[in-house]
Amino acid sequence: MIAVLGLVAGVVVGLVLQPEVPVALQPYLPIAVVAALDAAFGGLRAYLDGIFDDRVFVVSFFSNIVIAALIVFVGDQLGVGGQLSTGVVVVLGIRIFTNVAAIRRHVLHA
Amino acid sequence: MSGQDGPKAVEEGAEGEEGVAATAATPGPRSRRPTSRQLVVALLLGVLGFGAATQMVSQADDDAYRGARTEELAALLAGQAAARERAETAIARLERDRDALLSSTDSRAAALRRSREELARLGVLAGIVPAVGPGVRVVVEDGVGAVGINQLLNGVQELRDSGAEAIELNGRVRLTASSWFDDDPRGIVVDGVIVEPPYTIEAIGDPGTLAGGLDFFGGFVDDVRERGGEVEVQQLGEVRVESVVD
Repeated sequence: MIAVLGLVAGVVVGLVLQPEVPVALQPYLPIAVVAALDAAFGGLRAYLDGIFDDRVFVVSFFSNIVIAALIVFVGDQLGVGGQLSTGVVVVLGIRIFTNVAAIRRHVLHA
Repeated sequence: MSGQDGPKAVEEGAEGEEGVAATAATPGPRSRRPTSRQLVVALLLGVLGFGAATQMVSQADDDAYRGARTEELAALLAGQAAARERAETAIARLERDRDALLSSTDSRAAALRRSREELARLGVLAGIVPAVGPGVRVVVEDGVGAVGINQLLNGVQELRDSGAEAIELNGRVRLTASSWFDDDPRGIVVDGVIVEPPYTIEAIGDPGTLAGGLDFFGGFVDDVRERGGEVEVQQLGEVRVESVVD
């Protein structure tokens, strides 16, 4: 419950403040958000499985973000940033679908 | 290849960690969790929400160039440069067309003006329009019938040679290139019109030149005076030649 409240609070703060994204971070923010989304769904799935651990969640949250940003950064340096960004988004999207499918089985038993 | 390796590794890593977490954390009932851990999760989710909202806002209110990559920007720039080049080519072509049209209009107007001037000049020479200008008036008194067509013809010819543009005899007959003279008992016939003395010849041209053309040794004035006639040459600032050829 508190987790949902935190999510809502973050969205509200972001909408209210509307911070300017630094230019250097602009290519990474969308990828980081998708990676964090993946971590969040993974955490929810683990919670429903009864195996949730906050330490694992924190580590996977940050490692997801860092690795995704790193891949994009390296891709930009190699000149294939656009393609690698797409690849990361596709992979994370597949993982999110998998996690959501597991969550769906838990919640709906279907 | 590396693209496939990467995600698989990440996925396995994540599941592995969750698996580890499962062995480590299964015994703990969820109700016994300290609030601080839930707060950590809430904080992270808040960060996620914050980032997502920021990204959405910056996507919504910004133009297409923000967040674009270097190569995309380069492609956009190249496209803009090509568009600018096309526009400049079009501008140069249109300016050339405009200049051509302007100069052709100018030359047409100039040609028209020259033609009008030529028309007026030729009209005066041909005697079909009246003329006004500086010139001379030559009055020939001939009480003894001394002045005939030879003398008048000489005088008219001298005036023409001196640059007379329009010549009129007695205010009635316009003398042109096709005028003719004939003898008549009462005077002379010019272009079918009987003209009697005294003769008045009005000519438009430079007054000094015209007078000089008549009054020289052996010229028109001498000739008439030798024959007993009287000649007066007046240099006038304005002579009106009103008669025209039919």
